[in-house]
Amino acid sequence: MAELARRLPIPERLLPARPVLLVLVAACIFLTVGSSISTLFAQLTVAGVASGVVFGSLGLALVLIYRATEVINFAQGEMAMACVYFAYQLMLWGLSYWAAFFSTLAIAFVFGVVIQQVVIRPVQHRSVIAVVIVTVGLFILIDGLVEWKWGANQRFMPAPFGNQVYRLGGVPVARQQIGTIVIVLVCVLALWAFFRFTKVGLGMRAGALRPEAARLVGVRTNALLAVGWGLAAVLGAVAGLMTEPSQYVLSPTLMQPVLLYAFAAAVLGGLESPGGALVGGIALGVFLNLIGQYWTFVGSVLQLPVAFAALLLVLLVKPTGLFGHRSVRKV
Amino acid sequence: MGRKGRFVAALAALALVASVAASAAFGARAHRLDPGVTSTTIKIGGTFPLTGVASLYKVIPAAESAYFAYINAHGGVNGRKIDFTVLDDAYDPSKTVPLTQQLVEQDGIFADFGSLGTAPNLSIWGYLNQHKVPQVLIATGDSYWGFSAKKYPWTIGYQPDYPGEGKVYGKYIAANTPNAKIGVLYQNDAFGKNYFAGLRVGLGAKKGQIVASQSYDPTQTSLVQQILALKSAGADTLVIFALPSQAITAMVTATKVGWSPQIFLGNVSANPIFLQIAAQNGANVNGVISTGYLIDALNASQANLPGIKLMKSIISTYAPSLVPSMNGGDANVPYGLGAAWTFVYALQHAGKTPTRAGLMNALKSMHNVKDPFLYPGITLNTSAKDNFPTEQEILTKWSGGATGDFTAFGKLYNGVR
Repeated sequence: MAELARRLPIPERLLPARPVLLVLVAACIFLTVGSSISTLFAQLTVAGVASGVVFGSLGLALVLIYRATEVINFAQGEMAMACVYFAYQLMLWGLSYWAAFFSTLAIAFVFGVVIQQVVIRPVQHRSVIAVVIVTVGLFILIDGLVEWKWGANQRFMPAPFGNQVYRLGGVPVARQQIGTIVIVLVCVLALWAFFRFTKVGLGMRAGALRPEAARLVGVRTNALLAVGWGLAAVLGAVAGLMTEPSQYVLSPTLMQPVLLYAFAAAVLGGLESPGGALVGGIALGVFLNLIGQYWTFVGSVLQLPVAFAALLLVLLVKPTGLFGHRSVRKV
Repeated sequence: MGRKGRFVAALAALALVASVAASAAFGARAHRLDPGVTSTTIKIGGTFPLTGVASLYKVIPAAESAYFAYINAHGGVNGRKIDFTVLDDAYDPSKTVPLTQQLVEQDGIFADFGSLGTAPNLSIWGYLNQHKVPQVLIATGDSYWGFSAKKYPWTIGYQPDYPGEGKVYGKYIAANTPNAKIGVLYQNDAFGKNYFAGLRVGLGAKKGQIVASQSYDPTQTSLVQQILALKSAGADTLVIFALPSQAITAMVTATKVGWSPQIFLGNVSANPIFLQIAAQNGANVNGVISTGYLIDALNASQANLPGIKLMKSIISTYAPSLVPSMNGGDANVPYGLGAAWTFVYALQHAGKTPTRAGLMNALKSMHNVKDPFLYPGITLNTSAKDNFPTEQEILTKWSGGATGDFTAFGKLYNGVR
C-alpha cells in the first residue's frame, strides 16, 4: 500500500498556504469570541455552519467530479434531488428513515456510475464543452423525469433527527442542526480516508492528476472515473437528504438554490481541494447569516449579491481559491 | 283595376317585400349570437398549471369541470350545456399567451374562465380586453384586476385580494392587541409587498407597533437570520406573508430558536396540510391565526351546511378522484366549485341568450349573492365601481397541533378598501 502511494504521482497537500491558514484561524477566534458574548451571534453562527456544511458537501461532489472529469457537473443538484425522491419512495414502501437513508446512498452510487458510463463516457474525450452541455441536458432530463414520476406537488418526509432543541451554554441549538453537521462531517472524513488509505482511492487521485502516468503503473482509469462519479452522487445524496429536513418540504426545485451556493463554496475553496469546498461552504453559510443581521444596509435582500461580491474579492486576491495551489506546467 | 289600382297594388307589394326583408334582417340580428354560443352549448376555456411547480392547483379546474358536469346533467343554463376546455400552461406566461390565442381564435370561446396565476393572467390581460373577450373569475389574489376595471373592463377576479386580507389582520390586531409588538416576514415581491401594504392600512394609527420587518428571497435556503432579527427586535407578534414552504420554515424556525410569538399567517399558506407538517417538524402552531372565506369539509360544525352537502354529492358523482383532496380539507375543491357556481349564476343573469356584455354586466351587478361554497354569511357584491366579488373574510384559529385544523371565530371582517 505504502509502496503504491510512493510510486503514484500524487503530491501531498493537506493544509492551505500559511496566510490563508492565519485568516481562517483568526475567523474561528472571531466566531468563538462573538458567540460567547452574544446568544444571537452564536445562534446565527451555528445555523450558518449547519447550512454551510450542506453547501460544502454538494460543493465537494462538484470538486470530486471536477478532479475526475475536469468539468463542473451542472446536474449535480438535480442528481441529489432525484436521490431524495428515491429515499422518499423507499419510505413510502415502508422503510424506516435510516434504512432508506443508507439504501439511498447505495442507489446513489450506482446512479452516479451508470450516468458516467452511459452518458458521460461517450463524450468525455471530445471536449470540455461537450461534457458540460451533456450535464446541462442531464439537469433538464432528471428534473423532467422526477416531475413525471412524482409530480411537482410538495411532498413531506419524516424529520430524521426529531424536534428536540438543546441549550448549549444558554444558546438554543436544534438537534437537527447538530445532526446535519455530524452526518456531513462523518461522510467527508470517510471519503478522505478512502482517498488516503485505499488502493482504489489512491488510484483515483493518480488517475485524475496524471492519467498517462497512472495508466502506466497499472491504474484502470476508466473504471475509476466511474467510481468517482458514483462517490460524487453519494455525497450529493447526503447533501440532498440533509437539505430536505431544513426545508421541511420536498419538491423538484429542492436543490436548485443549494447548487448555486455549492458552486460558490467549491470555487471559494479552490475547485481542486475537497477540504477547501467544505471550509468554503461553512464560510459562506456563516457569512450570509452574519451580514444579513449585522449589516442592516444589506438586510436579506442584498445578502446574496454581497456574498458573491465578497467571493469575487477573495478570488481577486487569491485566484486559485483558499486551498488552491497554482498549477505549474512545464513546457 | 285601373292604373291607379295597379300602382297601389305594386306599392303594397313593394311594402310587403320590404317589410318581410326588414323583418328578416331584424330577425337575423336578434338571433346573431356571440362567439362560443350556439342554441345548445356555450363554449368556455381557461389555462391552468396541470403540470409544473404550481400543479397542486390542478384540483381547481377539476372541481370546476365537476360543477359544470353537474349543471349540464341538470339541463344546463337555459337549455345550453357548458363546454369547458382546460389547457395546461404549467404556470408559464410564455405558454399562456399562445394557448389563450388558440382558445379565442380557433376554439372560439365565449369567455376565458378561471385562468390561474397572477403572471399568466397579466400576460393575456391586454389581449383579451382588446378582443373584448371576458376574462372572468380568474384565480389570483392580486388587486390589479379590481382596481383597473376602467381600463380593462372585460376582466374580473373572484377571491379576496391580498391587500384586503392584510388589512383584516391589521384591523384585528389594532382592535384586540393594540400594544402588540409586530414583526413582519414577507416575500420580497409584489405578492408579499401588497399583503404588507394592506396590513399597514388595517393597523391605521397603530402602524407604529410594527417593530421590525424582514423580507426573504425565494432562493434563500434558510430563514434563521430573518427570524432571529425579528425576535431580537422584541416582536411578540409574527405576521407571515410567505409561500407555503417558507411559511413552514418560518414557523418551525421560530420555535427552534426559542421564540413563541402570536403568529398570523397569510391565507396562501394556510392549507391545513402545511400547518400539520410544520407541527410534525416541531413548530408550535396552536393559536396561529389566518383567514378563510370558503366552506371547510374538515370542520365538523359545518357538516350540515347545504354547501358541504352539495360539494360532497357533486364531487363523489362527477369527480370521484377528488374525494381524498376534499376529505383532507383541500380548499381548492370548494374554491373551484364556488368559482364555477358564480360563473353559472352570471350566465343565468346574462340574458336568455347570453352575450359577452351581458355576462360582464351580470358579474358587475351582484348584490348579496349567496354562493353556497363560501363561508356562511359571506356574499358576493359588485357594482360598476366595485370589481372585487369576495371581500369579506372570517378569521380562523388553529388548534389540535399536528392533526388539527382551523376553526372560524369572531365576526366577519371586510377587507374593502
